[in-house]
Amino acid sequence: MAKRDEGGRPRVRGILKPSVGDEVEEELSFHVEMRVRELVAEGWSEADARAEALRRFGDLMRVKADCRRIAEERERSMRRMEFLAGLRQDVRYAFRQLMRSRAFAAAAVVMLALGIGATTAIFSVVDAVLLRSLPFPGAERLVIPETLNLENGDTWSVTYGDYLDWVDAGVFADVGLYQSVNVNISGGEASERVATALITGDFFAALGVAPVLGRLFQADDFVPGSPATAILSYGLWQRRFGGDRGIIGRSVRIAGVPTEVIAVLPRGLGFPRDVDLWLPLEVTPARRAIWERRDNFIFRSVARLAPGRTLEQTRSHLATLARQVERDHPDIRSNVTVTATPLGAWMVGAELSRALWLFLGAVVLVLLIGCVNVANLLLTRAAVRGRELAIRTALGAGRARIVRQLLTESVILALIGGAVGVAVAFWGVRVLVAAAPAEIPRLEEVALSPTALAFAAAVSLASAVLFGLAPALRASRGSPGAALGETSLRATAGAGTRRRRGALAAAELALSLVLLVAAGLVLRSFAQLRATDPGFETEGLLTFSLSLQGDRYDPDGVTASTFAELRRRMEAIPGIEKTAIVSSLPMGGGGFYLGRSFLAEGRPEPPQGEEVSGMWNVVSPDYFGTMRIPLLRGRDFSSADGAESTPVMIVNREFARRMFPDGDALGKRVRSWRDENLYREIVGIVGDVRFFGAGDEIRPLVYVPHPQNEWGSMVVVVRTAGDPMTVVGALRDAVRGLDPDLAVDDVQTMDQVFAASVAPRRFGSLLLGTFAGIAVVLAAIGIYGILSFGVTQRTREIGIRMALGARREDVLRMVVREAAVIALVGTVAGLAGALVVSRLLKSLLYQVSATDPVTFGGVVLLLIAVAVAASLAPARRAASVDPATTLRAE
Amino acid sequence: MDKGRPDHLHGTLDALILKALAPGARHGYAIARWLEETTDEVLRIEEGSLYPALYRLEKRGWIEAEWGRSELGRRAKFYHLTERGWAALERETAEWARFAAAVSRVLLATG
Repeated sequence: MAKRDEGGRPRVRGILKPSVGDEVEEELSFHVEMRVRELVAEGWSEADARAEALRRFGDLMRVKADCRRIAEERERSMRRMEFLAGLRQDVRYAFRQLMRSRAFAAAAVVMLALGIGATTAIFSVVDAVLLRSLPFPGAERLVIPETLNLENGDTWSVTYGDYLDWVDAGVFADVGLYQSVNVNISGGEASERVATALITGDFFAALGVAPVLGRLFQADDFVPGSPATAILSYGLWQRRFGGDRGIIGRSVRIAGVPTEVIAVLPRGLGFPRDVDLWLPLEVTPARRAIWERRDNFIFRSVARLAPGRTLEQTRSHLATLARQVERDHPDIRSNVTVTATPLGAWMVGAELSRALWLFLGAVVLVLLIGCVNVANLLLTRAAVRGRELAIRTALGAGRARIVRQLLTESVILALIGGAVGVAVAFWGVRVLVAAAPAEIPRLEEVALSPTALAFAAAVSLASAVLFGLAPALRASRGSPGAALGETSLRATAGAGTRRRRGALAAAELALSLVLLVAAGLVLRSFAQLRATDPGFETEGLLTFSLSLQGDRYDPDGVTASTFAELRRRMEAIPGIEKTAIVSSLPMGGGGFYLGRSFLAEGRPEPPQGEEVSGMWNVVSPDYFGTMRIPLLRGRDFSSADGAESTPVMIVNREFARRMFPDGDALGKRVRSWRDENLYREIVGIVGDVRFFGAGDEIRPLVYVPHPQNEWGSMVVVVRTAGDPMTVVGALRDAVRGLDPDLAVDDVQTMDQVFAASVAPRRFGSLLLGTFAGIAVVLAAIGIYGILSFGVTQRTREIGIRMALGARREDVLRMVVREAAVIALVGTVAGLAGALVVSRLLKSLLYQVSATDPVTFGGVVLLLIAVAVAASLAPARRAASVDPATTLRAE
Repeated sequence: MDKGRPDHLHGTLDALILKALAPGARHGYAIARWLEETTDEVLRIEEGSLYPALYRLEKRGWIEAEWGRSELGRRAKFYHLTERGWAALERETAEWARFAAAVSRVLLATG
C-alpha cells in the first residue's frame, strides 16, 4: 500500500476516476453485451439473446447494488489506510525534524508548557468554583431568596413573616430558613465550638439531601421542650467521633445540653459554608411574635423552584408578595422588595466570579504570547527550511501535503508542550490553592480533574493551529524554482516578511502591555491597601471567639460577670497586658455584625433612608485601650457602667460627625428607636476603625457596655507583651477552668485578620504579577528573536550598505529604529486594549483609578526599555558586520 | 451478506476465480466463460454472483483491477492476482486437495 502512495499516480487517478456506480454499471453491461453477442453469433435473435443473457445473469439490480456497496467499502478503507500511513510517515518525519533541531524544540516546548500549564491551572479553579454543579440533585433549580433594596441594589437576609407568605402562596416547591450560629460541643476529651445552622423543617427537603446514617428532623423535633436532637456533618462525624456508625442515638453535650444525634449527612455538602452541625429551629410563640416583624431580617433562606416555574416567574411572584408587605408596612418596608438568586451564583458572588474569569483571560494572554513566540520560531525555521520544502515540492508533494506535514510538527510540539504543561498545572494548582484567599468557596475541590485535562488537550490543539497554521501556509507557498534559487540569489529579506514578523513582535508587546497594566493597577491597589491605617494597632493582639451557652448563663448578669471573671484571670497570665471583649471585630475579623438606625433626643423620626445608621458593638471596659483606638473626648466605660446604672454609649468620630454635624456629641442622648428604643448618653468619642476590612469605607460605629447588653457570643481581644501565639495555651486553660463546656474558637492574631482582609487583592496581585512577568520575558525573547533573525537575513544587505559608505552608527540606528517602530505600534495597540481591560478590573482596585497615569506611564516606559534592550545585541551584531567577509561568503 | 449459500461453496467460487486468473489478467466475462468451459457447466452458478465475489476479493487485496481494452476493442475491467492472491490460491488449492482426499476416502471406501 505504502508503495502506491509515494508516487503521484493515485492522486491523479483520483481526479480522473469516474464514480464507483458508473464503473460497476459499465463492467456489468459489458458482461451482458458480450453474452448477447455470443448468443447472436449462435443464431439467436437480438431480442431473444438479450432476454436470455439477462436471465443467465440473474438479479442484475441486486448484483449491481452489492458490487457498489463492496467497492465503496473498499474505497473507504483504502482512504483510511492511506491517511494513517501518511500520518505515520508525517509523525516519524516530524520527530526526526524536531530531534534535528533540539534547541528550537526545547524552546517551543518550554514556552507552550508554561502557557498551557498556567492556563490549565487557572481553568481548574474556574471549573471547580464556577462551572461544576453543586452536590445537590437538581442543584440548578436551587435559589437563595433575599431582601433587595431597590434604591442601591443591596441584598440581605429575610424575615420570618415573608417566609410564611411564600409558604402560603406556594411560591416554591420547598423553602427552608436557617440561622447561622456557633455552638459548643463538649464531653469527651476537649470541647469545640462549631459553625451551626438552626433550620426549619423544609430545609433539607429544599436541598434534596438524604442522610448517610439515621433520619432527618421530623415535626416532633421542632416542638419546644421536646428532647434535643442534632444532625452532624460528615466532617464533624469523622473528626470528632472517628466515623463511628454507632453515633446514631447517642447523647452528646451540645450548648451545654444533652442532645441525641439522629443523623449524619453526606460528605462535601458545602452549603451553608463550613457548617458542621444542624439543630432544629424551635418556634415558640414569644419568638414568633418578634420574628414576624417585617423589619427583623434575621434569617437566611434556601428554596427549590416550583415545578414548571422559571426563575423569572418566581422573582415576579416574590416581588408581588413584597409589594403587599410594602403597602401594609410603608414605614419599614418602603422601596424594599424580595428577589431570588441561583444558589451557585450566590455562593460565589459576582465579584469573585468576575475576578476568576479575568484571571483566566489574563493567563490566556500569556498563552497567546507564547504561541506568537512559537509561531515566530516556526517562521524562522521555515525560512531556514525553505530549501528542504522546495525540494519536497519539486519531488511532487502537493501543497496540502506540505501544510499537513508542517501542521503535524506543530501538533506534536503542542502535545509535548501540553504534556509538560499538565505537570506545570499539577504544581500550579497546589500553589494556587495554597495562596488563594479562604473566601473562595469549594477551594478544596480544586484539582486537575478530567475536565481540566480535556481542557489542556483542547488548548494544546488549539494553540497548535494558532501558531502552526500561518507559518505552514506561508512556507508551502511559492514555487519551488524561486525557493531553490532564492537562498543564493536574494540579498535582502522581503519587506513583506519583515513587516509580518514586526507585526508579531508588536502584538506580543501589546498583549504584555495589557497584562502589565492590569498587574500594575492591582499591585498598586494592594500597596495602597497595605498602607491604610486600620485605626488601631494590629501588632501584639490575639483574638478568639467564645460563646457562653447553657442553663447556668440564663440568669441576668451571669454572662457579664463570667466574662469579667475571665478577663481577671486572663490578665493574671504573664505576658498579657490588657484584655477586652467585643461583639464584632474590626477588619472583618469575626463576631456578630449588627447595623442599627439612630435618632438624637428631641428630633422627629426621619423618613426611611435618611436616618443615621451605625454598626452596633458591645464591648467591655478597656476595649479601646487594648486595641489602642484613641479616645478623643470623654471617658471609657468602667465597671461602674452596670445593668442598673445610666444607659451609656461611646461613638466613633464618624458617628458623631453625622449625627451632630455642628455640635458636640458628648453628653447628648441617642436612641436606636426601632429596636432597643432606649436613650443612651454619649460619654465618649473614639477614633474611627476600618470595620469590614482594610479597604472598607469609614462607617459610623456605636459601642455599648456589655453589662447593659449582655451578649453570650463574644470575641475576646488580648494585648500581649511578646509574640501573641505564646499565650494561647494559658488562655485555653483559663477558659476551661471557668467552664469545661466552653470552647475557644477562631484563634488568630490581629495581623492574621489584617492579612486575611487584604488576601483577595494580594492573590490578584500575585497572579496578575506572575502572568505579567512571564509575558514580559516572553515578549522580550520574541522581540530579540525577531530582530536577531532579521539581522542574520540581512547580513548581505548590511554588508553592501557598509561597502557603499554607511557607517556603523547608521546600521545601529537602522536596527534600533526597527525596534522602536515595533515598540510604538505595540504600545499604541496595547494601550487601547489596556483601557478596555482595566475597566473590568474595577472591583479589584482600591484608591487607584482604572486609568492611573502612573501605572500606564510606568508600563509604557518599561516596555519601550525592554524593546530597546532586546534590540541592542542584534544591533551591535549588525554594526560589526565586516563587509568584505560577508560579500565574499556567498 | 449473501443469501444463505453454504460457506464452502462460497470459498470454492473464490478459489475458482483465483485459479481463472492464474494464467494472467482476465475480465469478468472471460472468467465466466472459463468457468463454463473448464467445469463443463457442472457448477451452474448464476453469472451475476461472480461480480460481488470479484469485488470482495479485490477488497481483500487478493486481486487488483485495471481498466483496459477487450479483444473487441471495448473498455473492460481486467483482474489480476496480487502476491497475496497467489499465496491464497496455493493455500486454497492445498486445502481443497486435503478436503477432497478426505471426502473421497470416506465416500469411495469399500466395505
